[in-house]
Amino acid sequence: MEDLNRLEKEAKGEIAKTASDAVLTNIRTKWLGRKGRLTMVLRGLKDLPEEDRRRVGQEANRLKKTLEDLFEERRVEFREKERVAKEKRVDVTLPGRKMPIGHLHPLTRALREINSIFQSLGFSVVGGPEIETEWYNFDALNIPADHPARDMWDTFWLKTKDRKQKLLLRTHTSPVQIRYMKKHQPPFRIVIPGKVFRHEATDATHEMEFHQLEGLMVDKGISIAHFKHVIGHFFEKFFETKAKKIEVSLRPSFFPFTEPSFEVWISCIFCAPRATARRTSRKGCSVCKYSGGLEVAGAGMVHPTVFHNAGLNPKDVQGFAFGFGVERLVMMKYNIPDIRLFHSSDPRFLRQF
Amino acid sequence: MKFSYNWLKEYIPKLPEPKQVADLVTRHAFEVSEIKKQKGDVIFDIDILPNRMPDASSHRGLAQEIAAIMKLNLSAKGGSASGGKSQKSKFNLKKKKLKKNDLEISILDKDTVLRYHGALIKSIKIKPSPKWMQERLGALGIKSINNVVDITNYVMVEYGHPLHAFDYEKIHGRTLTIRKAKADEALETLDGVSHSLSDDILVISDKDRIIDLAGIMGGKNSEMDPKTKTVFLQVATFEPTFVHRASRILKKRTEASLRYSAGIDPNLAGLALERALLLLGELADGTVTGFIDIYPKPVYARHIRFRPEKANQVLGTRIPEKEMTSILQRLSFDVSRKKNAPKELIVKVPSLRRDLELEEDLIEEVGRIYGYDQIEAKRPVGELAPAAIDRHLFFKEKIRDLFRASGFDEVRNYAFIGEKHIADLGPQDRSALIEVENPQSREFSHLRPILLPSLAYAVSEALKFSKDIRYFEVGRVYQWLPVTYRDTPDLERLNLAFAITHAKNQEGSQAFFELKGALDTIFESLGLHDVWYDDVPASPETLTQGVGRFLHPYQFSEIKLGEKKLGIFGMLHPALKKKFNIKDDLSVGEVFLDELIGETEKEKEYRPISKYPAVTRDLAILVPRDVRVVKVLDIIENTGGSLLTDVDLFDMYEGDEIVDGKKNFAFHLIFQSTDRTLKDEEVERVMQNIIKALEENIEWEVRK
Ligand SMILES: [Zn+2]
Repeated sequence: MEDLNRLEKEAKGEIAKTASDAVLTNIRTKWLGRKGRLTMVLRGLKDLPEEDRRRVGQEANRLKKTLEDLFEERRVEFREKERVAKEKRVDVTLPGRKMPIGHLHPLTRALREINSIFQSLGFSVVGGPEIETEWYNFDALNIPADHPARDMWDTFWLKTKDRKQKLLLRTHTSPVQIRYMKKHQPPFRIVIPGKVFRHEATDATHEMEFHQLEGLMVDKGISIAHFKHVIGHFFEKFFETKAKKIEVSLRPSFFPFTEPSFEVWISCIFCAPRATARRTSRKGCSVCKYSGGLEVAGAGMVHPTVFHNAGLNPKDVQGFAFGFGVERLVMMKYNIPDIRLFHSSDPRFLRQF
Repeated sequence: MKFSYNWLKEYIPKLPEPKQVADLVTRHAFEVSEIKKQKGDVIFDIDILPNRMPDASSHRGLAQEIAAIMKLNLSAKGGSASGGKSQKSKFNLKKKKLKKNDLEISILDKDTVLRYHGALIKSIKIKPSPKWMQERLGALGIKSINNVVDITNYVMVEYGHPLHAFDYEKIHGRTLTIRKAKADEALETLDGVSHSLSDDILVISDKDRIIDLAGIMGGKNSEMDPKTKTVFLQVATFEPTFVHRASRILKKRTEASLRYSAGIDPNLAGLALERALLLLGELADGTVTGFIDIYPKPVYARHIRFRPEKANQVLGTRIPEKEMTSILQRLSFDVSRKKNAPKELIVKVPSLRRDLELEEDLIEEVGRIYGYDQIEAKRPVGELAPAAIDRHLFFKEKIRDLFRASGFDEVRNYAFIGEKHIADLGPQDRSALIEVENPQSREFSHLRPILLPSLAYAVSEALKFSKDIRYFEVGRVYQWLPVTYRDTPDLERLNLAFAITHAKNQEGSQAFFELKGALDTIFESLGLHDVWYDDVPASPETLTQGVGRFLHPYQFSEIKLGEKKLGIFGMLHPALKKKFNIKDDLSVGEVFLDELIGETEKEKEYRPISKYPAVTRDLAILVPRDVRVVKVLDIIENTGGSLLTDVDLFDMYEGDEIVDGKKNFAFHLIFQSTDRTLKDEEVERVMQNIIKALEENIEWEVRK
């Protein structure tokens, strides 16, 4: 015969700890069910001696009543909780209310990314004016007037009030090289992102107003081998999401302000994506015109005349300069089909970035 | 420029397959942009670099280059296989001088002609040129005319020096004068186009008229015809700048002008004339009656110092001196050792290579023939100073981030504006506009002096696609200064413009206050807690660098810090809304970032947070409708003293329940001390003072 006091304590403890209606039902069965522990006590009364039977019987029936009350109390409590919960519960399948989220221009994002890659290589970001003098834009860069080399840049000239000097909209960011070198002492490690202007008809790949990034690294003994490292590192980082490995190749070219001069080509990021082996891109695609390569920048070793015009002695310094069109790279990276979209005011374009 | 594979193969018998040739030429010299099979030949389209035109714009020159790249030998016969079977000219160039009464040549400006070479040929038989020549020219896209014209073209693409044949009978007065044209002169060229000339244009005239645009194209009036018997064949080396300038001004580019503009080695004139006469003898009969050669300053080979060690330093390589010497010799330069300088070489460069002047030029020759692909990339060593962060740039990006975070999309408009926007500018702005001399179109004729017009227009365009536009732009603006500028950066400033639209049908449009709230948030984030909005009584037309003209005359405010004007904002002017066909409410503004940057550079100061509780009291006041909230605020703040730490307007009401002509403001006043817990009586005393001060205005009534 179990001690009724102990049973009562145990049962009340279990009821109090119960956390849900379902568990409560189980516990009720355990105590008051057909084979419940208290039920068994009541059934066992007949086996007790007469003198105990009444006393224990009364006690056990009182306990049964107490537990039944307790179970009912808890049940009501749970039902109420459930009712309240149902009422307060949100419908999570309703659409969320959007906070206004703005978007940075794709060019802003790309310029930030480009700048930060070069900053990680120790290049400082420098700026310069968009309105330039003829001297800074051409003469200082070894591009004399009436020289056919000037035809490489179709220029917007400005009407000037005084005839002091001819003004223009800079056709490249290179004049900033001169401005910077005049004011600072080598070594130099700078990049110059900025807007440039070309007087040409616009179409899907030509703009009269676009951005260029110019780089300049000058010190004792800076060589083409170093340039290959820097530019290779940059393109690998910039196109990291497009291609695993980028091969850089330099081809002879001509710029009046560099000597030697070259064009920078990279392995096509469209037809050789994630290729690791050399020359897997032999066949090419329509973007690279089936050549497997893309021309991405112009570069060279700074011409002695340029150092001279910036007030430096070419004997003491050596280094490379490079430049590329930013929009073109961004178009490649984000598959933007038309360069004119960068000046678009269409929210359907601007909100994609 | 087009080149025939078969022709090149005549110079280099061991020339490899066209594909391989193209690949090697591209890697070591010029980009081959096209390879095309054509009637048993392969035609390359090659972008000869502008500085290499003098030596490589001919089959002979390109063959030389290819031979050097591929370590192949040039054939001794050199390209004469198809024509000019005899190797020696039958004319002796030295002997027969042109007689003055046959033809007199005068050059008015000596510096315009480097060399004037030519020959007078009699008894010419004009007929079609032979099939092989027609085919060869045709393959390169040159139309066959007759034997004499074809020979001049053939020699040009073979040697790189243009020639011109005049019909001798059509040269009036038997004189040729090379001179600058006069402003009222004109000429119809061979292609039937008439050109008005100017004194920038070099021409050749006879006794009566101009008959040739020097270096560009001959005149129709001296053109050969089937009856031509006597020809004056001119091989003149003009000074490049004159031809280039004329060709640019007349917008006329020909095979000849391209070569002249880039510069030609005058020594080539002799070879070209000799070659042409050889072909004329064979294909047009003809007898040379006299030569002329005016060549006052002969050009000779150049000697350039070359240090292999320096070359390796620039290239970042370890190419042995022997290999460098071999490369230079393959390019047909003479290499010798400098006396008393064992590490230095002297390289003799033929006059044909006009592009080579400096040691750096030779380093390029060695580098590209050796192959840039063979140069191993190397990480630059040396002290790596951390990149300097430009404050200006940093700040610009921060502004962009703040606007983006406030729900604005960034746009980038053109730096140009045109007649559409100029008309809306004030007279002062219009007079300071910077104008483009050669604009793309009337829409892009000037540089923008402020950002707002283009931004408002961009918003009007955007509204076609979406409701609720929030745009901003950070960009440069340009203007002449009232004083003379020192340098061009003085003509540029950095501005910021922004706009918010609200659909009209929305209840109680709040575009103005939404923009003001966004600005508050942004200025706070920049640490500019004291920015205030000046309630300017004057008309906005004259305000804030002309931006005010674009705002609604009664709904705008200047943005100030102290007395410094940072910018202006408000609702777009109704006239502009109408012009841009904008139906929605549109608030816009422009801020002068250069001014703002100066202010943010001042350090933020830490203010201790009080340990003692704050006490809040409410105050409601009825005022006449024309009283502005700032006036009430001023009185509260000036009377509140140091215990009053903040005042918030939380309600403004004018309407049915209020006496006519009045409105109600309700404020929270927050009191707090940094050194004690405030007692009710203390706060009450201040409140009474404030109420008293407010009610000194007779029509104001504090509601109790
Ligand atoms: Zn490809």
